[in-house]
Amino acid sequence: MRNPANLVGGVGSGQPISLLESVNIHFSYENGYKVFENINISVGQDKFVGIVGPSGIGKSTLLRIMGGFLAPDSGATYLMGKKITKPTPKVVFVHQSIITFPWMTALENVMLSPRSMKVPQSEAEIVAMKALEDVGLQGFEELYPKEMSGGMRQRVAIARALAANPMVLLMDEPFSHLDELTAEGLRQDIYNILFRVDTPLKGVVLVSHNLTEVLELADEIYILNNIPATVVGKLVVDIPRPRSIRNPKFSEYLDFLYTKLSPPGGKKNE
Amino acid sequence: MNEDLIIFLSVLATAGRVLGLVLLSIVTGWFLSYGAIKGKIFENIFISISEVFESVPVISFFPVVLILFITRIGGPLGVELAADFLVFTAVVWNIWIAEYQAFKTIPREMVEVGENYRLGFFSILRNIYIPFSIPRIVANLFPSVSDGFFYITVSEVFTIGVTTFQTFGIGTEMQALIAAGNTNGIILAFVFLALVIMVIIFFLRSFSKHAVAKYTVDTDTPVIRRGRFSFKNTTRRLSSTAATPFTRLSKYYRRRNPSVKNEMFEPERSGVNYSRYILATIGLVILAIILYSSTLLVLSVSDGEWSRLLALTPQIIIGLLYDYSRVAVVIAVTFVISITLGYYLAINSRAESVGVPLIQVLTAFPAPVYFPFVYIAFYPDFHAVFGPLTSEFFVIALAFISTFYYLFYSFWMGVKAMPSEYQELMKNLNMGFFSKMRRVIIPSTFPYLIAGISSTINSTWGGLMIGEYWPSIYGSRTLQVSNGLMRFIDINTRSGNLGAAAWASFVFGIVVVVFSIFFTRRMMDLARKRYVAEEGVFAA
Amino acid sequence: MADVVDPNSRIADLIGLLYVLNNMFDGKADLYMLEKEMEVDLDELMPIVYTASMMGFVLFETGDLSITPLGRELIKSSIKTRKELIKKSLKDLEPFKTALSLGEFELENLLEALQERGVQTFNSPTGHHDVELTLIEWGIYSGLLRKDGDSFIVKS
Repeated sequence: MRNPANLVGGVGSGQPISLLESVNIHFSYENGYKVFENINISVGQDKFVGIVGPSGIGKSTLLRIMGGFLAPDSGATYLMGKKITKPTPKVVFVHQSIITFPWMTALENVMLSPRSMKVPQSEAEIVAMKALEDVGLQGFEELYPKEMSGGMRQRVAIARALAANPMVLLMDEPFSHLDELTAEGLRQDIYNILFRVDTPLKGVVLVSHNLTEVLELADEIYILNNIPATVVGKLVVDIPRPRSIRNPKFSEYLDFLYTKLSPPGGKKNE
Repeated sequence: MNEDLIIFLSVLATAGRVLGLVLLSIVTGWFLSYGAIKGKIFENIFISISEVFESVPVISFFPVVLILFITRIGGPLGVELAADFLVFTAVVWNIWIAEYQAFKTIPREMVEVGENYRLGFFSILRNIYIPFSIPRIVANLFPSVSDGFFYITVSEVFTIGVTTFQTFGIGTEMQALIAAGNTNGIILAFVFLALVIMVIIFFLRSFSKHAVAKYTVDTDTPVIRRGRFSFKNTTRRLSSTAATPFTRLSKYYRRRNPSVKNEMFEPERSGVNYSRYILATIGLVILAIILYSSTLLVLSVSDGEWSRLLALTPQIIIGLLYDYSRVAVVIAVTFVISITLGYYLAINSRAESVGVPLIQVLTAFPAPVYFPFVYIAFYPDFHAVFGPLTSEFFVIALAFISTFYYLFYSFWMGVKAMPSEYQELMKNLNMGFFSKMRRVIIPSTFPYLIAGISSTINSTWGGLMIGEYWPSIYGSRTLQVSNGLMRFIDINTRSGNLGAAAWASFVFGIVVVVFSIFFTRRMMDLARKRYVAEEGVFAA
Repeated sequence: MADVVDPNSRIADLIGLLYVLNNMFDGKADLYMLEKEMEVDLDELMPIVYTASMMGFVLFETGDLSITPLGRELIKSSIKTRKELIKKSLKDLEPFKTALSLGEFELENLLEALQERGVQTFNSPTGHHDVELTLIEWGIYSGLLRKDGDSFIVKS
């Protein structure tokens, strides 16, 4: 199972169906610039998947394709074997910029998810209170985002995502706008929150340019490189948690990632 | 042939007036705004005057203008100045406030560079302040130009008593053509006007794009870090939000800046009372001016005039109530159309690329010029539907046509300024149309909506002023309603009874200023305090 | 001089600092090493270092930083226990000490009381905002305070 060479699960290939799977993704910008060529990514049950790549390679674009926000030229993404054609609350996107609504209290911000899914008011309130508690924001219900620090706001955004009862979270550099120290603290918290038994959440995809961050969090890492981008490697991270960068495997993996991420050596593309 | 040339020249004369007055507003605004940021007292006076006048209908100036320019200056010059003044007051406040806001938010570092090199007054203005103010000016130009065209065509020709005053332009020319039944001339006038307006809109659109590319500064979208605004690393965030030139431009439209520098850290209560006193004072000054002019007239006519005017007051109040109901209808219709059409256009780039320029041209095309033809062509049809309310329908339709644009444009800009992440989030949560509107779109465009509604109310008064009593709208036909304050003012102005007209606008002025201070400004304060969508995006 | 929670310190910073100390440095590090490792500026690091040391989660002496048993306990605990630990450590620090003595207060009252006690940290143009953020970040998070409209109330 945990074999880095095993890149593609494949729908209907006899193996158990992946939680979220993008198959043969090709994508170009409107001006014809080819961004992705034949990208395959498979997120297994209860897996935290990282995607890394040089800046400008289109990591966020890939995440948007996986969530159904952008349509690929060819290929498709499947959630439990079912094709995703448009965004769905089962796959929730967490933005790089921390998004809250300044005219809503923390509770109202979080209630937006269940309310959009037609959950009745009183029930939505219970769901939202629970989500806020899960991210450690008990007591913040009536506060406005303006009154909170960035770390607290990101917790509100994550509570809102969780309140939608998603199966998958797509996280686009969720810590990049926070100070490294704040990010480190939040990162540890988030992982604990995400994989607690009582959430229906089955998987997370994290896009990041911070290799240490990805190595700290992910079970599997897909490496994108080249123009147009393809998956140039996959890494299964086998370090017990909590992970320390002093673990010798950590720097071994880091070296591997750096090698894969260096520009295609010498040979010019076109 | 010769006549064709005259029609063409009249179109140019009108367009020239509008553009010239817009330019005059811009240039004077630079100096006044510079004065305002240098002197605290001047700043308070300048801003309070601009803000109050901005939310007062232009039309309430009309009697004052007539008195001052016609009776004091007189001659062709007086008539010309009267027409120009009306347009000037329609476009100027908006532009002045935009420039002031630009000057107020210019990064201190830029100014310090100027001081460091000891740039002179003109040099610092030309090299630093003026370029910095361009995006805000441009964002406010479209409504200003439309507003200018609307008022210029009606103010070129007006009648007091038996005397008709007119100055050369398409408004005057059109009336002459209609009177002479010259169909070819009328068509030609429309074609010329359409061409000139299209050229102007095309020029404005290209200039907007150019201005956005050249004059916008990344720090215009401040970013909050550790609860404070930070100008570090803003480019990264901007690249994600600034998709098109108009999206960037929208950040400058009527955006009451969230007071980056001072108010952020001050307790919210302080200073409020102070500004309220200033506003009250300004309001009183306006009333005093209107009172002064009406008093002059009253005194000059007779002693019994006062009691006659007081006796008219109940009639004026009833007319005002009628007119406020009309305003309410217009606002309701405009609101519904704006938020549906505006939202559709803002999120469909293909529809937008056709729809928005079309709407811009259509609305710059002055309604008073073509409305008589619409009236004549459709009167029988609508009479069959509305019966005795047909005139009422046409008056409200005219007010709607002349006013729809402000709210639409404001809302469209508001949607454009909305963080793109909000759009994705709404899609992600599969939100329904009404849920989107109620929870996200209307709140995040709230400051824009309030600004738009305020302008719409003001120009509705303009539409009503023209429509409620429009003698010989076409040939011998007269469009009029039975009740209304604007009709009252119109009729009294026309019959030369300026005392009654001035008294009515005095009463009107009181109501409008009170409305502005207690409703519009409150809503704007609320918008500034809570509904700032940019604050919902935390990025550092 | 009273011990004051630095208005620029955050809960997540505390957790981050303790994690890094514990997991990457075996509980003890030179400040400059930490600065290098975390790629943060010293002025971003100092607020939480001082605050954490006043709260008893780290020991800070002559440039050396080490995690205390209390600090280890904090990162190993559930969110609920963390809140309890933080709440306990806040009681002797300003502005919470003064807040506890007031019971129920609005920001202006607290600022006045702090002024009377000679706490100068919040006596600045940004003081109003700073004290509000600190009360919310630490006080409400830990469950020491709750907010009702404009007033803060000490929870019993």
